[in-house]
Order: sequence, then structure tokens, then C-alpha cells
Amino acid sequence: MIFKHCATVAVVLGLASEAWAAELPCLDLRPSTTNVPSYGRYSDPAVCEGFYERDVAAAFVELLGLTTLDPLVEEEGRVVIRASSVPASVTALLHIQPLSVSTLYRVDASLAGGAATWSTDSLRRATQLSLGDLAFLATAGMSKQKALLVVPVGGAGLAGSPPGFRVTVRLSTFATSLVWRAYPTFSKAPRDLQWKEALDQPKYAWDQAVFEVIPPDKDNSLTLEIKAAGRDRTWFQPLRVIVVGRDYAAK
Amino acid sequence: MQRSELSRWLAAEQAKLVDELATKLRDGSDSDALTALRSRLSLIEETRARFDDSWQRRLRLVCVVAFAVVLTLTVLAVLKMPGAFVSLDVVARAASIVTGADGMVLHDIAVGESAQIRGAASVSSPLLDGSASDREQDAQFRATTLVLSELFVPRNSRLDVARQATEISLFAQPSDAEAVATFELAGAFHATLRPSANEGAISLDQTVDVPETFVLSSAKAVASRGTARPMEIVMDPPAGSTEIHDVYPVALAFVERSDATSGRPFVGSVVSGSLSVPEIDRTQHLHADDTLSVVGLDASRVRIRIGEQIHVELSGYANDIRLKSGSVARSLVPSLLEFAAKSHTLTFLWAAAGFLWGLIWAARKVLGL
Repeated sequence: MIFKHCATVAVVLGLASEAWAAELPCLDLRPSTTNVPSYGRYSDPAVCEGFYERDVAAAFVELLGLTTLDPLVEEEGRVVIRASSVPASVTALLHIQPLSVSTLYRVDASLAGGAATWSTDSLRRATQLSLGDLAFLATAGMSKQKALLVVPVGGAGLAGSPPGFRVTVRLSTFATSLVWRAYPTFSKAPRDLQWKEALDQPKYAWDQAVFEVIPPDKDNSLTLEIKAAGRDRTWFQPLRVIVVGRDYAAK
Repeated sequence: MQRSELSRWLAAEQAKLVDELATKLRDGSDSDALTALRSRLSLIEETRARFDDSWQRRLRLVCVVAFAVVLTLTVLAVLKMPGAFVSLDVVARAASIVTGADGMVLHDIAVGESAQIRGAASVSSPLLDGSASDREQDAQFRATTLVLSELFVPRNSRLDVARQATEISLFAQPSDAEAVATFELAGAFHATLRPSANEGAISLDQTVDVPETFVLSSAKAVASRGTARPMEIVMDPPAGSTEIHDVYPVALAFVERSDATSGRPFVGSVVSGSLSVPEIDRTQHLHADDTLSVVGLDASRVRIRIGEQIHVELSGYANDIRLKSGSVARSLVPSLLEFAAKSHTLTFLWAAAGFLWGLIWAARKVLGL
């Protein structure tokens, strides 16, 4: 069976975050039947982690990571991940995935209080991946218009981070173009709606693309639209997220 | 000798003895003969009483058992199973889908050149500033390529999909959350947003390389005000067909809005198809204009293909399956009696029980127990 769009995943994320207040955020994924550890809750009650399975056929852009520009640091097998400051009412979840699609392993953890400490032991034993092979994303549910709310995360926290953030996406199929634009969600000021091209050469199925966004204003929320096209300019399922949090903007 | 003959003989014998005793008493016979006669008469009376009593009792027992069997069978025939596995393959002009607790997201339902949306509570697009949105409005889109790239139907809501010759219509009746439709407009496009109030329409004419996104959401129901205003999308008919997977409705009905003349708001929309209830080997063929509804559905496999008609293949467990053919409506969920009679599992259990009984019986005989 086919057809598992990132948007579907996004809905799952959204629902998971709603349900989180009561319990921890294990996603409704198909845990792996062949790889160990399979996706689930292990020693840490605030973390769901492991291998999972999925089938995909549609053309879409998948948001893998959205991080501030300061690097994450691993110390003694532990990584501290901090979210940009968000309103206290927002419940953020952290999602860690390998950049490579060949390793269907993921970690979902609570970002309660704006920070999470994650032990790399389990992932390292199972996959031999290092920090540089991973993408970090924090979500905070869905907007009324079904756009995923994303909170930038990084290592240094609020003060030490340079302005802007880095977006990592994965393309489900061959793409010749990947364009993006970002504008303040609520501002009534004229917006810069020019699309920016992120690819200098075509990408093949499951390649990643990375680009950096420097927000124009210090604003509470920024809409980020990402669209990709294949041969014949056929457009993929679009990706539209709202980046919330104040501290990524230029100071 | 038959029981009835015995009974008659006892009655005759009693009458004969009474006569004899009366004669002997009149003639003043000796007391020994009278005593013997009397003891024989009392023996006969006693036997007869017992004999008739057991006869009546048996008759009564037979009646009670027969009544109980008839009653049980009647109850079993009337009582329905709590649900049944059902597998259906239906081609219809329209279908009405009710979402469960997760709602549903449909992708790339229709690709065309024009769309009309009625009953949107808000429209958002990067091309509109904040002032244009958040007011109830109708919208009209025309574009070189227009895609309804996503339709989100919230939990416990209804989506009616109807395919006519010249258009496809999607009618979302949201619940306590908004239905959201995302359109992608590419090439030369024209968008008109008409707030329902007496305000000027907003028109946009552009030619774009990268598609522009318009997100329209419906109102949501507010408890004090009853149901929300539905959002209706009417689009060009899709070229070819689109398929919907990974959607697990909790109820499904093959109905369509009727023209006002018939006096009924909904009529059956089935074109053809069949439905089977494997537990009782029932296959029901559907006829044109039948109304079929499946309620309390826990579907394991659903495939909805929207082409020139709507083709639904589904299997799962349903609490109720109702078919209305002409003016006759009935439930296709098997009764307990049908289930007991047709169920392969039950047949096997009975056969196994009979076999074991025979085996034990034979063993008893062999071992002389």
C-alpha cells in the first residue's frame, strides 16, 4: 500500500501533540518487525524511539529538520536540545530522524520546558549514526488552517544563536526545482513573496536539500512555504509550515 | 399393547368391577368375596390414576418443550447479531462518508480548471492581506491548472461526494472543528472572493510559475447554535480517476441529494454492485437507485476511486447494514438464527460435539461402563 504523505504524518504529529498533555508522544507508526529496537517506549518514559516501517509513493517534500544555526553538541553520550522560546501554552515535541531514508529509525520526545536531554546510546548501537547524520525538528501541533507549527531547536539556546534557521527537507522523488519563501504570518505590511530556488542541480529520490532562512523581521510567527517540481514542472504536494518562537529572528 | 388400549382396558375393567361389586352388595354376598373384589377395584383405580397422570404429564412436557423450541427459534430469528463482517464493492453516483475520531485527509482529489466554493468561513493566501480573510465568503477560482491538493474533514463530520456529468461536488458538514480545503493555482489564474455581506468582491488576476496556495476553511459548529454552515466545493470533473486510500470512515451511505420534486431530501445513489456477508455465505446484488448504508463501521480495507462514477471497495465489521430497494428497507445483518444455521464455525462445533459424543458412547460400550 502506498500514499503516506508528509501531510498525513503532520496530522499524526498534530494529534499526537494534542494527546500529549495526558501521556507521552509515541506516534502512530508501524513499528519495525525486522529491526531491533522497534519503535516504542523504552527506559525513558518521555521518549519513543526505534525502527519503523513505511510505504510511500506520492511526490512530496518532507520536512526533516528546522534548527537554529548553532551546532548541537554531544557530551558523554548526551545531547541537550533547546527550543526557541515559545509561549508557555505551546506544547512542543521533538522529532529526531536520520537524514538518510535507508534507516527508518526515529526518536520522538517531549520538549516540556523548552529543552530535552537525549541519550544517543540506543541509536548509536542500532545504527552507527552520528550527530551529523541526524535531523532535528520540533513541532507544536497544527494551525487552524492545518499548517504544521514548528519551533526552531538548537544546542546553545536562546542567547548564543546567530539569527536565522536552517531547514532540511527530503524529496520523495526526482526533483528539478525546490523553491521556498518565508513571510510574517500575521503582518499586514507588504510581503516579499518572491520564491527562492534552493537547488543548484536536480535531486534524486530521497535526496535531502538544505537552505537557510533569515527572517525579515522579528516576528512571532513566520509562514514558510516550500514547493518542489519534477520533470515537466509537475508540482509535488506542497509543504506549508508556520515557524513559531521569537528568538531566531535578526536581533 | 398400545398405551391408549391399556388405558381403555383399565377404564372398562374398573366399570366392570364397580358393576360386579354393586351386584354382590345387593345380593348380600359373603364378606370375603366383597373384600377381594374391593381390593382389586382399588388396585385398578390406583393404577389408572397413576397411568393417566404419567400420560398427561408426558403430554404436558412435550407441549412445554415444543413451545420453548418455537419461542427460542422465534427469538433467534428476530434478534440480530450485534454486527457482521461485510465486504462490499459498489459503484455509485454519490457517497456520503462519516469520519471517526481522527478525521480524514484527502489528497489531490480533483485537478481541473475551475472551482466554486460556497460557505467558506475564511480564506487565506499570501496574496491577501489579513483584512480579506476571516469573513464568510464564496470564492471562485479559474486557473490553467487548479488542484484541490488537500481536503481535511474533521472528526465526526460528514463529507458528501457526488459525481455528475459535468462536475464533481464535495459537501463538507463539519462538526466542532473546521473543514479545510487547500487549492493550488498555477499558470494564469483568476480568483474572486465574494464576502456574503454587501461588500465589493476581491479579484486577483495573476500569472505564476510556482503555484499559489489558497486555504479555505469552513465554519465550525458552536454548541449553542447547532450545526455549522457546510462548505461546498464544485469543481470540473476529474480527468481519469483519483484514488483515496488510508481513510477509515465510521459510516458510509450511498445517497445523493434529490431534486426537490420527489419530496425527499436524499435518494439512493447506487448504480450497481454487490455486498457479501461471508459469515453466512450471503451475497446481495445491488440494483440501480438502491440506498445502502453501513453504520458503526470498523473498516480494515477501504478504497474509494473517484472517476466517472464513485467506486467503493470496502471490507470490515459493521454494526448495521441497511439496504433500501424501492420502498422496502431491511437490515442485512444476520439474525442469530441465520448465523447459527450458516456459520461454518458453529457447524464445525456441532459436528465435533456429535463426533465426540459418539466416541464416548462407543468407549462406554466397549469398556462395559
